[in-house]
Amino acid sequence: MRDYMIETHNLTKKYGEQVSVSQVDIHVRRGRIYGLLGRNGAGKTTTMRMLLGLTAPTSGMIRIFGKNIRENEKEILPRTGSMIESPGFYPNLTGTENLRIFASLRGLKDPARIKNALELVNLPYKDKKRFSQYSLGMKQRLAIALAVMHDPELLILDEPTNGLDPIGIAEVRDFIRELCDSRGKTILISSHILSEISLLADDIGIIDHGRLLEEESMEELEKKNARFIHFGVTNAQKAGEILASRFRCRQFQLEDAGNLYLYDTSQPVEKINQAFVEAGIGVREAHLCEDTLEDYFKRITGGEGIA
Amino acid sequence: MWSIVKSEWLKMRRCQILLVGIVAVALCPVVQYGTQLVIRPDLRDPNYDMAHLFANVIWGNTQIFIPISLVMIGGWLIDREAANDTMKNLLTVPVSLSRLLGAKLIVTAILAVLFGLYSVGVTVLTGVIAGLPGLSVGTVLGCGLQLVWAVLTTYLVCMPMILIFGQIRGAYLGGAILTFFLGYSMLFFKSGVLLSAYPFSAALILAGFDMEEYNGATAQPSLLLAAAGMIFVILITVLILKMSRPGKQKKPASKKKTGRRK
Repeated sequence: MRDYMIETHNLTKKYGEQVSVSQVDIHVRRGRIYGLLGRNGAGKTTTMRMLLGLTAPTSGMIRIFGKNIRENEKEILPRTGSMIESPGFYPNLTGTENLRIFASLRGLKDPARIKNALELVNLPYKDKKRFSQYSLGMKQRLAIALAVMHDPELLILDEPTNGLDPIGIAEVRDFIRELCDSRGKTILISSHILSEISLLADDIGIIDHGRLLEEESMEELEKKNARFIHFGVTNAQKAGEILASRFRCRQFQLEDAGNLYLYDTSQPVEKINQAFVEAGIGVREAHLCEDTLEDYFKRITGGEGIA
Repeated sequence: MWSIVKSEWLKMRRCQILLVGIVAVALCPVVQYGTQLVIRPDLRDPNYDMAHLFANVIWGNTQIFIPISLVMIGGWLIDREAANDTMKNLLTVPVSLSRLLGAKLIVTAILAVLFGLYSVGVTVLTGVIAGLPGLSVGTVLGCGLQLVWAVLTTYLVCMPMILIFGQIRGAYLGGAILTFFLGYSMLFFKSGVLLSAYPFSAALILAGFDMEEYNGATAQPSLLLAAAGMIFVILITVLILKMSRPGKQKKPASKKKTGRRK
């Protein structure tokens, strides 16, 4: 049995008649970054809220560090850092003062904890600026600082790069990667941005309309992604006939009069190319293609793409 | 619990709502003395002195100024956790809601005592500026102690209102207004059980305040009934604390799209 930091079984949340999360089975492995990918309203935040005990599940089981969250909140939550939805802080206080409050509640006596957490996210220590005067990016950074201040083993981060500028996004991404690689943290991160998940996650869970449609490692996903050879030709119909007659290959698709997709990637491209040219077919391009995460996402959600 | 109380105290830094209490408590002796000035000269009390002013302030504080101030500030202290979306940060520490609310009540109690002491200061200052006779250390200590005690017992009466209206989003102002009416209503209980057991009356009776001159009581108040009334309020408070649960979570609304969608 694998060493899961988070494990859910049949996790379901209903609001009246509306099912927000349905029978979700998540498995987050120790020391990995798990990306929960889904459109807005797919059920990511509700799932995370349930993991943190902020929302009671309608049914199903949650185990964090191998223990039931409902009965072991006092043991589990101090070992967990979280950031759920928008950053929530006291507007009349500075960033340092806000963190001091939570440090006091967590029993962290060393002020260096606050200083280090702020430095990690590039926010000034003992700055006079109040939270109400912060930009959205600064608010987001402060929320991340709060999540990591007590050096938790597990981080649950709901869309942590929301509101950050491109440089800020890259910084946070590197920072999260570093937390996992150098400090051995386990991180569950949600996003509706495909590129973010594909650049960061070791494992991925795709959630759509409250259901976890797919869960696997990025390596497995890459293996499963469809690969094909794209031929740009002057006569796709004739090219197809050559593939069928000379190469005995039927795993191809005519996209239109000038494009053909060959799904059997073991076929010798140079020989096919030569055969096309000999038959008087002009070849504009021939290259190996692979599904992107977006293509994969579209395929398994059976619908439109994502950001 | 101490760390929660300490953090609650830290949270109040630069909070402008405290001005409500500061202004209200400062207004009380001014309004009470002003009332003396505006009535017909033949109805004025020729013996009006510092002790009278203190008594007027104790009545005014319990009837109007302290309930409004404490319910508004205490309710706001609770409401702000939802308004600022900080409750999730507290619950994931974890801090239990009942302990959090308890800490907020303790902080409000400390504020009540501070408002009481401040009220003593403002009353003395008003008396001195008005040139009232009878200013002595004994009067200030005796009447001042009674004033602070009355503020504290009034705070106890306000506790359920603070808890109830603090937990209804944005309702603390309405709660303060309702509490004002409840405080004002002690004028109407001149005899019977409610003369003593009505919580706001009980607050004054337990502080040793003679209400006869103010509400025209036709009977002697009972200390026992007043204690019973106060115990009832405390029990209600404990019950509300025990029954309080983190707000029923609504389905999170779809977040604003900040990412680019292809």
